[in-house]
Amino acid sequence: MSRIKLLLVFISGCLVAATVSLAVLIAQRQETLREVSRYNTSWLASQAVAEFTRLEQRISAFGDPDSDVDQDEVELRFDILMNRIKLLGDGEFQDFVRRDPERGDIVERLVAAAAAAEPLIRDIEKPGVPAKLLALLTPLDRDLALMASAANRYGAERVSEDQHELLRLHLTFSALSGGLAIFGFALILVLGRQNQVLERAQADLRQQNARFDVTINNMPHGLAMFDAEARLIVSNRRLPLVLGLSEAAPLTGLTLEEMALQAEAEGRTGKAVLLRDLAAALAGASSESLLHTLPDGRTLSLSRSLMAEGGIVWIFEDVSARIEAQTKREQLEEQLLQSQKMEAVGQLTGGIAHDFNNLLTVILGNAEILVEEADPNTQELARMILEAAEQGADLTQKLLAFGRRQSLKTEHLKLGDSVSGMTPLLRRAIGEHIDLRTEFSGGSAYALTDRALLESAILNLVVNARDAMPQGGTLTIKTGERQAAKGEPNLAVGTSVVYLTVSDTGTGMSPEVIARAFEPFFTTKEVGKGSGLGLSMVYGFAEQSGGHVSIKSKVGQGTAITIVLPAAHAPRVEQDDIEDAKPAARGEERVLVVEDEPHVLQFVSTQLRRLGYRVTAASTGAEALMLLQQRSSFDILFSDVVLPRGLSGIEVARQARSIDPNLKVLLTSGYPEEVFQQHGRPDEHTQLLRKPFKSKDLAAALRETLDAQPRPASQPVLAS
Amino acid sequence: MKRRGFVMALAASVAALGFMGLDRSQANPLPAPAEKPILTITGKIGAKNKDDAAQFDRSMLEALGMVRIETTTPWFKGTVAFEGVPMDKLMQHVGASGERVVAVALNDYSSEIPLEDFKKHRVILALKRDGEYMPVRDKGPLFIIYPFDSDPDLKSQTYYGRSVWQVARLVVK
Repeated sequence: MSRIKLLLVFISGCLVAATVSLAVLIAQRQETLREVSRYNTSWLASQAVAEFTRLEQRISAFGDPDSDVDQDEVELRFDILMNRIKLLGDGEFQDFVRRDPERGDIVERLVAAAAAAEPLIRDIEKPGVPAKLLALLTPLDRDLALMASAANRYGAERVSEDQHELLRLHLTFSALSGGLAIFGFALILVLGRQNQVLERAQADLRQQNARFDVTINNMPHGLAMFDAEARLIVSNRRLPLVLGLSEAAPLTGLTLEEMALQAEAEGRTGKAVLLRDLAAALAGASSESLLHTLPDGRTLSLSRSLMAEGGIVWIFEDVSARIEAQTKREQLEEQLLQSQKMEAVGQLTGGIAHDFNNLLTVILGNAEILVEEADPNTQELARMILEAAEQGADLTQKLLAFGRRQSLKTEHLKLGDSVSGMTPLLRRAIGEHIDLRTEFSGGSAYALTDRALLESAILNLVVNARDAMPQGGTLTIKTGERQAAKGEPNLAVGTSVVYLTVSDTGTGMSPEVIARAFEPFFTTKEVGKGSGLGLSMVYGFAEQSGGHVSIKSKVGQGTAITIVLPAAHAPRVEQDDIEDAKPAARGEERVLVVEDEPHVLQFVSTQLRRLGYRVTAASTGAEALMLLQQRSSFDILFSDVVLPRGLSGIEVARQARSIDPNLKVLLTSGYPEEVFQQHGRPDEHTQLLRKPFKSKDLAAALRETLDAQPRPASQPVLAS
Repeated sequence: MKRRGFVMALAASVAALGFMGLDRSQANPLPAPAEKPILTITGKIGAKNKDDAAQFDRSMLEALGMVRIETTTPWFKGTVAFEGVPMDKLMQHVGASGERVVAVALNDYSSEIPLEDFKKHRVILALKRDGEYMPVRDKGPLFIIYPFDSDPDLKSQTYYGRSVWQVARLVVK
């Protein structure tokens, strides 16, 4: 590019130089030509000689009577000669004269002779005058002839010189003309090339421009380029969309303030407010990027880059959705963390409850024996032990409920009915200063859940509500049916759910308290007043039943806690479980007892022997299987589900059944659900006794299992 | 064909000549010069006052009507004002019927001028230069002058050569 420019400048310079030279040459040639036209030195000399000679002739003839030469004729010739002599004084002839002093001398003598002759010519009529004149003139003849021939030579030389000069000029002229033509041609070529380059550059520029347009108009962000005077010089199609303006045309050429004024003039106050707000935000930006909330509530991320010429490019991005999503994700993470925490606490409490159950089983069993067999004083003490142990058993049930290790005895229940059935009990529990109200709807919907646990949960919630209203108030229990909303834990959107809400007008809870309300042993009650397990139990129960529990509360206004459970189809047959208070069933069958905990093993063995059974004890599954193989004469296997060293009660039962297909099996566990998930469910012939059990329960379960029909296809499936 | 055409053209021109000459001489007989004649016209002319020639003295020429030409020339410095008789008028006056005029100077230098030049270029036979009669010593008494400044074509050797000075005779051919 620059090389072409240099070439152009060079060629143009040459053209100008050539043209100027040509002009000078033309002037020179014209001058030379003009001089050539005037090179008549020889003519002047010869004219002088000729007229001189003619005058001499006329003077000679004047005296001859035959001639017709008169005075007039002689005077005319003299005048002509004078004219020629005058011409010799011209600058041109003087050039010639100056080259040789002799020539000047000749001219001077001629002039002098003419001057001397003039008076004589007027008196030519007088005798003797013509001869005088001739005597005056004749001596010049030879000199004039010499001068004429010298002038001839001189003229020829000058003409030859001029011819050479003309030739030289002509050659230079031709060369310059040729050069001019060549440079002109070169100029045209270079200009053509230059034009081509320019055209290509222009095409490139157009293409680049188009690419630039496509790029900035398709970027997901708004773009605005301001010049140093803050005028918007470039913007893309996204910009008005991001700003929330209904502009089709790009906003260019004006400052934001000018645009705001224009918008005001058009009556678009909203736009004016937005533009002013934006102008203030951009002007006040102290960092390269910032978040800015628009008047319409959306949040924009603004980032700028400074341009070299003093302008600024701003990129606008609507981050409202992203911020919302982030908030939501944080909420979800918190929720997950909470449920993981609850899970961990559940595991822990479940484990403790399990060991505790074993202890309680021993205490309960032995206390029962003491109650029956000891002396009256001791019996009273034993009964107290029994009651305390039963309370302990209740506590572990709650722990297990929270840990979701409760074995649910599910049945179809209507929540409203359950609450109705409990109402007298609840009234007694809350006292006279609290007004109890109930609202039941969705009366046809059932929940498939454990009645005892549901009642326990309701009681817990009511007691909590009561404690929140020491000065009295209103306690409302509401039940109903609805569709699950989006985001409800454990429930798919749109499925039918039943709910039960217990609300009070009491002290309410702070958000911090709500956050920890379901944690076991967390309580706001005075030490000794609450176990801290009430809401944990409700939580565990709802979760295990496939639903969830939620709290709405405000300090000073009250609390509403809602249990939501999946709705169930109506049951085919309503079964009435009538608990009969039979005495402990007895038997004489051979029982193989498997239990790793020695105290429990001892307790169970003692109890069964007391009921008449023949008992063989084993502390591991392997030992039990060995005994089976050696004797194979047992009627029933009674085993704990959780056993140490690999073999679980379920596996032992399965292998035992393969040794003796007729063997009856009764399993026992504190939290069988977990074990079943781990080891698989026992087959349908296997019965399950929940820990901790009283000896009465043990006797009844054992008898029931033994009396069941062997391999009956129609035997009811155990619902555990 | 060719010969007949030529003969007819010759006859026509002779007839025309005769009529013109007759007409001129009868209507405007050329008087003899009262003073010393300065110009003699010979050749194909209709009007004559001495033998076969028409002679003019200065006043006869001036009587034909003088016009003025201001021009630069190769012979004088700067712009010069010439006054003289239009050559075209002079030729009509003598009933010239040729195609060329040979101008002869006092030194017998001669130059041939096409007759058409006179009307076309409005050529004059100058008597005065810058208001003064031109003497023999200063290229007088008569000088054939073209209006050189009016047409660049005239500034060439062709026309400079036809501009005879010290004119003494004109021969119409």
